[in-house]
Amino acid sequence: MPLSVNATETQVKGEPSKIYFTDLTTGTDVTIVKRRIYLTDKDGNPVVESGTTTTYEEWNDFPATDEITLDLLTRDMALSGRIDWLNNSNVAVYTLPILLQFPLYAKEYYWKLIKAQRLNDGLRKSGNFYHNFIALECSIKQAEDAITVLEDINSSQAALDRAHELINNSSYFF
Amino acid sequence: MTVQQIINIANASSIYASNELSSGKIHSGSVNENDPYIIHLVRQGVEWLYDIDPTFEDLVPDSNYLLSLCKHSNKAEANITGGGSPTPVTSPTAPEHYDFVVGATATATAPIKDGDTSVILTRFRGYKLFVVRGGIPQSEINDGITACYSWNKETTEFLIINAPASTGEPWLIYPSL
Repeated sequence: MPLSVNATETQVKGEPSKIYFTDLTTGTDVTIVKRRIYLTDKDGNPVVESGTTTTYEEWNDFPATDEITLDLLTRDMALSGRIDWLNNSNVAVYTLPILLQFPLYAKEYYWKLIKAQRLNDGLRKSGNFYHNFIALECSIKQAEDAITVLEDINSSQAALDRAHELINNSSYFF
Repeated sequence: MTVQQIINIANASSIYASNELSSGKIHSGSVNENDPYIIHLVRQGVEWLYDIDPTFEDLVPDSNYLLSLCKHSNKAEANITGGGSPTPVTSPTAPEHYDFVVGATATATAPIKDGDTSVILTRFRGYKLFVVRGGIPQSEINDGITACYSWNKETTEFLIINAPASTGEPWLIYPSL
């Protein structure tokens, strides 16, 4: 039975620079020996780990190894690309397209704001605090909607950039 | 009370707080003008956190804090444990809420059974209700199609409108002053 390829990609909570890939492929194809992960940013630039000289990351030992964690992100990003399942001749036999946004840096800051509010009830009276809190929430949701509804990597990255600005200038906005 | 139940209550509470504001009750001091979106923002954060890591240590205090915020709009919180609220609130005199799954027969802890369209809930006499059915906050507005409910706090008759209760449905019925 040929492979039915599938995978999930999630940022690692507490370590948002890392993306955790899980291979959920079913079926059997003894010719497949490894995978390659190709990711690019909105401008088409390859996104790989520091030190990687290729435009992809190797994910070896198929099917025994079904998980890999890559340290890829210095900030939240929207990424497109694909995962290839390759045979011994490095020919891609199966391909899974990827279009995702990774907003965990922003969400982790969002959770810090909740904790700050929980520990400082006076913040409840600050309209400015909540105005920018809502702006952060909207940016996170816009980044998600741009991918899931519109498949628009540029809009998603723009929303993540707005969240990044709020966080980078937190002393002014919060 | 579970985190998911608190999220459900917060969903209803932010709507309720908005309604209170639009009806002018802000001036009576019952609702702060920031309450609807404060509840919304914290609920969203708790929901994200619950989805990603339901065991994370901040989840319990954040959830309790969310529940305490609901106090300002619906006084729906009770029996807060685990810390996390600036002013943890308990309602020792409020009747116990119902949290159950509909079955073939009604019981003391699950008063609604399969096929019911009307039940008497004497426990909540004099209270308003918050009702969550199948994870969805319920309205008393009857459009003739959508499932909703009617509650008479004097006679304690609770009507299930447009869609009788059915086996397997989770219900949460919470009293509110």
